[in-house]
Amino acid sequence: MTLTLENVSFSYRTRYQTVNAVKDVSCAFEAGTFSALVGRSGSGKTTLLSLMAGLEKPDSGTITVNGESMAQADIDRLRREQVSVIYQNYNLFPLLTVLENVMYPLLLKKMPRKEAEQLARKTLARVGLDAGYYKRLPAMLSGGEQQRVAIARTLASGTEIILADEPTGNLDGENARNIVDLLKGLAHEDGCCVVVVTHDTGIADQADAVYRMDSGALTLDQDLG
Amino acid sequence: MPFLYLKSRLTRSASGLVLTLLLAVLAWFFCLYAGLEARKAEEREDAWDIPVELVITDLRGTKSDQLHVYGSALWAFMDAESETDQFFTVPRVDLPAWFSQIRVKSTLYFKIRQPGAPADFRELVGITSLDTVQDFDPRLGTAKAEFFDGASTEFYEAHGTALIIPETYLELTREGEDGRLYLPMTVSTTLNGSGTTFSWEAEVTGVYTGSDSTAIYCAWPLAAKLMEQAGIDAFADSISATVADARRLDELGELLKYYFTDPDPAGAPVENPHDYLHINYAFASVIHDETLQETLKSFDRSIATLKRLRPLLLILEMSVAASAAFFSVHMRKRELSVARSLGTPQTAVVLTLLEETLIFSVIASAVAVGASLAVPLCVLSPFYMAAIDLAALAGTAAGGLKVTGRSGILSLKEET
Repeated sequence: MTLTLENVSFSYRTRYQTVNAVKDVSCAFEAGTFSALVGRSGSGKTTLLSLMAGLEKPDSGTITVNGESMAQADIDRLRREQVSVIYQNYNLFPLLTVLENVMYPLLLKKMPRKEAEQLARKTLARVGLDAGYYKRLPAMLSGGEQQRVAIARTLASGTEIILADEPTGNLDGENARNIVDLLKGLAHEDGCCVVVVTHDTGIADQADAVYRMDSGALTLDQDLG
Repeated sequence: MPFLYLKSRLTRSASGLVLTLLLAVLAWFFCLYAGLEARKAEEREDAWDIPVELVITDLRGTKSDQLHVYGSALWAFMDAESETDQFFTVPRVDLPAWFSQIRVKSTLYFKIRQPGAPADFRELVGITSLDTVQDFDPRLGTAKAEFFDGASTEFYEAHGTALIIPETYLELTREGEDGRLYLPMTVSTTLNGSGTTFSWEAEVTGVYTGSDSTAIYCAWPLAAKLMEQAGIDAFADSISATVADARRLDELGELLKYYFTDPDPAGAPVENPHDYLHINYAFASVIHDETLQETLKSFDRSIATLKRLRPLLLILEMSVAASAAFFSVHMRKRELSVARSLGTPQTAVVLTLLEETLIFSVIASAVAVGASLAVPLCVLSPFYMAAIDLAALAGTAAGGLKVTGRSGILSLKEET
């Protein structure tokens, strides 16, 4: 699974000016790699991630997922099957239990409930959450636990392109390390293409490739692969 | 959108409960409003039951703001044959059945003077006999009477001259040899004393207190006896009839015109060729039902105001329902955007939201129906309840389309 950007540009208007957030970006994120996207605040990292997630449409250029142009694809199907996003604020469904949150993308794909529940349990176990967590609501979990649920949801959904926007931004050191380990595992063990937007140099140091955004331009900072 | 989302909203959502309660209150309030309208209409109908008295009297007689028929028509209606007779002979007047409830009230004006008092010491009082006539049969011209205080016929036969007086007159009484109290009176059958005058006394069998009234009450037989003694020219006799159905006032007017004289508010005498009683009345008969008319007008005004306000209230309630539903969705902008970011189609999200609101509306309607049945004033208004629910659905659809659109999903980006 490859996520490719070719000459992608994107600008948006604020009240006072037009911001060229992404300028002619071209790159490819391969399956089985754990990439980090770093840069100063306002450099366009999150905007680029939004473009890759299909939340925004580029002004020019193309983004393809495994050769399929995002502009022409059914974006809902793409989100269900190929691209998912992990957010800094976890973005779990507040009224769904931990188990139900993980089951959601599976049921969305019309998986039978029993099967979905089994898979959700398995996935939660993989991120270190046992049966004691299943019936809890997100508000009853710590930040680290919520992020684990978010990762389990992504993992269960089976999407192979995982985009994470500051996934450890709200977590302490140990929890952050655990989350990064999980994300690395998704790339290296599950063969996913994981792209993490981060300020954390500790995460960048563990990435297979580090891309730097600077005023909308993307450069390959470090390729450890 | 998976069912578990809807299920979580139905079972765990406080905002869903609030929306349900709000919709229930709105629906119930409309039922209450409709009930208020209905109650006003009922009260208006009930207003017709306000007793409207037909009073036949002379100019100086009993005042009534309802209806006056002047002249001594009393004698045409009521002929006291003896002092203890309970049955009055009424001429064969072809009165309709609704006229069957008649209360006979005879008021005589007398002057009484305490024996030994100075000549100028005089007080004007009335002797009133208030009887209820039942089973009035216009064809037979008979009716059965009961005495005003509900006492038995035997009592009045035993105390044929019994009086009930105000407490203040006790000092005017004297104790007879039999140990009973008697009220001596000088009776004059005219107010100015030019009529028949004679001395008379009657037994006092009762005293009433707590009233400024100076009326002396007695049963009809005694009043009749006094009139007989005073001669037929006793003034100010009256008969009052409670019209059982005030809707027939117009008919009554026609009847009076036929039997007595033409109604003429100006008081001008009009010759009536149909005058059954062949009495040349000097005055016109007029129906005064201003109180009834004013009451009806007041109800009409209230009902019209309520009807005018109803669409405004409905619009207001629909706006509240739509806004509440809209904001209920808008409050969940983030989670609905997450649902979209996970690949839930926009139509699926909106349909789930509509389904949710529909269920809340149905529950709210059921609650409103229950509450309305519990409050007797309420009237179920299915059309308006449905309109409120429809407004809630419209608000939900608008909110759903807004938050699941592009701007909604971008809120996830803004927050990260």
